Amino acid sequence: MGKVLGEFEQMILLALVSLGDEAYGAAIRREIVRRTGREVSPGAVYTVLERLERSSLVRSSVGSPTPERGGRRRKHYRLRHEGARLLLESRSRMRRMEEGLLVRLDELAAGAD
Amino acid sequence: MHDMHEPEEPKWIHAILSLVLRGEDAEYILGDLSEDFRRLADSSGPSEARAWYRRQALRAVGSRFVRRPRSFEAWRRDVRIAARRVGREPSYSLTTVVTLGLGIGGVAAVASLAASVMRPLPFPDARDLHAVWEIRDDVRSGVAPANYLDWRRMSRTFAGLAAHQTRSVSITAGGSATRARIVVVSGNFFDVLGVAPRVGSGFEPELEVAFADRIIVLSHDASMAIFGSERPIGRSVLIDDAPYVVVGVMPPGFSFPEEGVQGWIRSPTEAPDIRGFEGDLTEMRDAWYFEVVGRLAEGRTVADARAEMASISDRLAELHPDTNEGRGTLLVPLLEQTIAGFGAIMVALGIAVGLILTGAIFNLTHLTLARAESRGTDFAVRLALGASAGDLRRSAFAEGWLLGLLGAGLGIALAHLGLTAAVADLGDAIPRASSVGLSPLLAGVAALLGLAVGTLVALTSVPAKRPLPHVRSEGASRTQGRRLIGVQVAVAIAMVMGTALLTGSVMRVGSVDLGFETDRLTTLRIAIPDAASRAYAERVSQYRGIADALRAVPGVSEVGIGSDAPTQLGPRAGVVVEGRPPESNPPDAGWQPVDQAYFEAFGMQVVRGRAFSGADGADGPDVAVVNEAFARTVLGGMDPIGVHVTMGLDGHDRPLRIVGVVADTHTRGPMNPPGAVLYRPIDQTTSSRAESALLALKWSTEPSDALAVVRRVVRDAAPGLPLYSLGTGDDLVRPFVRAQTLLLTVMGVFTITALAIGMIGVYGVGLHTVRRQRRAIGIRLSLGATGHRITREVVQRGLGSALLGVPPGVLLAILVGRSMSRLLFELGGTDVRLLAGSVSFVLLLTACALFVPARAAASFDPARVTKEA
Repeated sequence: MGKVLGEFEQMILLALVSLGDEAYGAAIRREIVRRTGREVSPGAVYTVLERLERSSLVRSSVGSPTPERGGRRRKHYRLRHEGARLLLESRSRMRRMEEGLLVRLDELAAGAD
Repeated sequence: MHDMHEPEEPKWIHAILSLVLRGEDAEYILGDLSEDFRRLADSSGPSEARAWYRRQALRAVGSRFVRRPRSFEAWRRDVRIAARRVGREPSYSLTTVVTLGLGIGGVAAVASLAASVMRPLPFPDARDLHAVWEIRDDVRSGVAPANYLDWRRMSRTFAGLAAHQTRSVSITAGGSATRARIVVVSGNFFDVLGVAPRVGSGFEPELEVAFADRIIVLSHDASMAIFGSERPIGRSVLIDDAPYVVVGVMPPGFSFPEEGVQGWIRSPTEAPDIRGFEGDLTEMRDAWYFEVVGRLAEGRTVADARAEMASISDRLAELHPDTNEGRGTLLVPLLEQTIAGFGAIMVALGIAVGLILTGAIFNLTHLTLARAESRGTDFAVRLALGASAGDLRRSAFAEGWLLGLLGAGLGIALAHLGLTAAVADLGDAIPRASSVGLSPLLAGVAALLGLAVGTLVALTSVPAKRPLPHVRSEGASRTQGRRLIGVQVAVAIAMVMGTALLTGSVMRVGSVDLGFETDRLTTLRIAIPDAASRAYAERVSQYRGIADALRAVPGVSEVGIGSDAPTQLGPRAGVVVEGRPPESNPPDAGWQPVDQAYFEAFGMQVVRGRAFSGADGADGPDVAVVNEAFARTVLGGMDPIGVHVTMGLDGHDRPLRIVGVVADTHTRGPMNPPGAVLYRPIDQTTSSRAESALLALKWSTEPSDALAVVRRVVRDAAPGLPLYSLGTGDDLVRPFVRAQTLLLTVMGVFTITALAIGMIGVYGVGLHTVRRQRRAIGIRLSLGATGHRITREVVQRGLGSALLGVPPGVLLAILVGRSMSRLLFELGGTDVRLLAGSVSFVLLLTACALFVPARAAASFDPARVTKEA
């Protein structure tokens, strides 16, 4: 299929893989921050998750309210089969693109012209 | 883990977030934020957590709005387009803005007026202040000294009851005398009002203590005008030639009981004194000459006070049946008293502007609908060029709001101009007029009103989720048009009726036979400062000298001297009729000292017996002339000539023989029945009220500069004496019709506005209808229908719609009439003839407004209009 995942979408989907059953908005956000150091806004996470769900790449289920959330519920997300396949495809496409280029890329980044 | 000291996320940010975030995600996002906030608070402390929360919240909100950054840009573009469109259709835009401006301007002006006039009085806990009057047979009067002192002793519901009496006096400082209004007050006056002098001190509130010192507290303005200083403490002024020491100066703006009071003097006795009266005021219950203001005690209600005062009155009636039988008290909240009757005017004006605004909004809606139809193609083109329905809606809103704001701006300007003009021209009819003005708050409300109407206009021009305007059914449009004509006709009928009622009322007041002649009449007052050395007779002879000088002026036929004008009752006092069993209820009457030319100068008819003559001097037998009301009410219809009466004021305990009867004059203004008056020869009284006199000139041929001539002659005859209240006979009547005149003026302006708006609307509907039907009309014309017939039909159809507005119009007119019935004279609010006249007038006007487009329809060129698509 022709659908391509953006970088942020890939990060979120990878976080779902990492978190398993414990994947919900705040946890996903924290996972991304922990692994990449990149600050992510909660609103953005949900906007993307909503889009992914509409494309049937993830599915969600609503948990029960907890006191530390001020009595609000969590929304858990799981990677679907299609999502996993698309993520895999995107990652390997990228890897194929990188093949044999990383050394050169390092040199360029280090300032060799 | 959920302990008491758990940190909380910033509340107001949380509140904003909850408002901004919508949909089901809101719960999860807010939950995430709370969860992360607590974790961070545990690890890095609450302040860091809060900072983080704020940052995240901002982003979350941002992500909602910034998602479509295009929107702002698009708005700017829409406003630009809207401005261009507004400029391109000047007649539509102008009509809209002017209509809206008139509507909003009227509302803003009346609301400002109401807000200024009805604002609380500038006293602490002003709601607890009440004016207390004596009342008998539903006629309220001032208060008698002994009653006042008893009230103060007996009342527990009032924390304080203060007496005050306003007087016109001459103030002399540095050699020049000016007339001024000062108030003679009891010692507790300032305490009761709750306002202390800003500089110096007030008075000692002691009951029944005679004060030797004459002391005065000046108003801020008077202090500046007389001494050019804010602290003239210890300096002295002459009030009617007697020295008074200044002990205090009130804060700027304080003036009670009326505007422009220059000072307050402590009465030598606790009840205001009567100058020249030597008797015991603490025993006097039959002269009611001053006013009382009371402050309710803590925790007491008006109802408590009314009940208590009623029982005090009963008690006093038992103790002093001669004077107090049948007397009660009347409590009036001080604010109500201050704005006396203006509330009724405000209600009438409020209804009027409400009607105008209704008419304006209906007009705008129709105007916009009509235009939306003609703009259907425009929208269709824009849709075809790729604009979304949202784009069209946005641009409609931009345009509506732009027009709305322009209209509001015009309205605010009109309101400001109107208020300025009203205060300048009619200020003396508006209580507390000095503070009337358009407040920023009201200007803001006017702007919001403009936006609201703009929204309405926008919604009308592009109805969301409805078929686009150009496919709206013909039937719907016709219903709209009919409804508009109906509404405009209803509004117009009510407004015309209101103005007709007021006009009729003012005319009726003008045609009342006042009992004296106002034409070729000049009146003035002269004051001789009240020095102890000047005996009463001396003063009278000085007035006579001035009268003689005026009599010598060419064209003057008579000059009379008296204490009051025929539109005044004079001081009231009880009457005892000789030969009748002493009644427990001595009827009271006004009394006035007059000279022998007074009746002649005012053109008052002597209906029985004789007027005063030169023989009624100080040495002659004591005589009196009474008016017909006196003969009727006091003497009970017995033949007045030869009857002896005694009146209890100013030491007139000698019986007076009645020698004549004069025709009644309207002593309480043309709108009230004449009161009973007894006249005494000016030489036979020793009235304390002779410190000023009223002079009346009757001209046989009145020069155009009569007032200037009189002023010059009096100045020459009596240099340095204050001359005031110089005016014509009409000036005597004017104060009684001020409220009516004010309302008539404003109502007249509003009615013209409403008629203009209404007829523009009717004309617009007519024009729109014939344009829409031009093909049909063209076909009929080509089939041989005459233009005359077409014209008649168009007008007839319009009038058919107009008739629908008549029943609601009549109802509204009755409402308007009712609302001002208190201001009307001899006219019911539902006068049938006026109502019929108003309806006919409005229908006629409607026919005229319809005639113009109807004529246009008749002159369509059939060949052209039938070809149009």
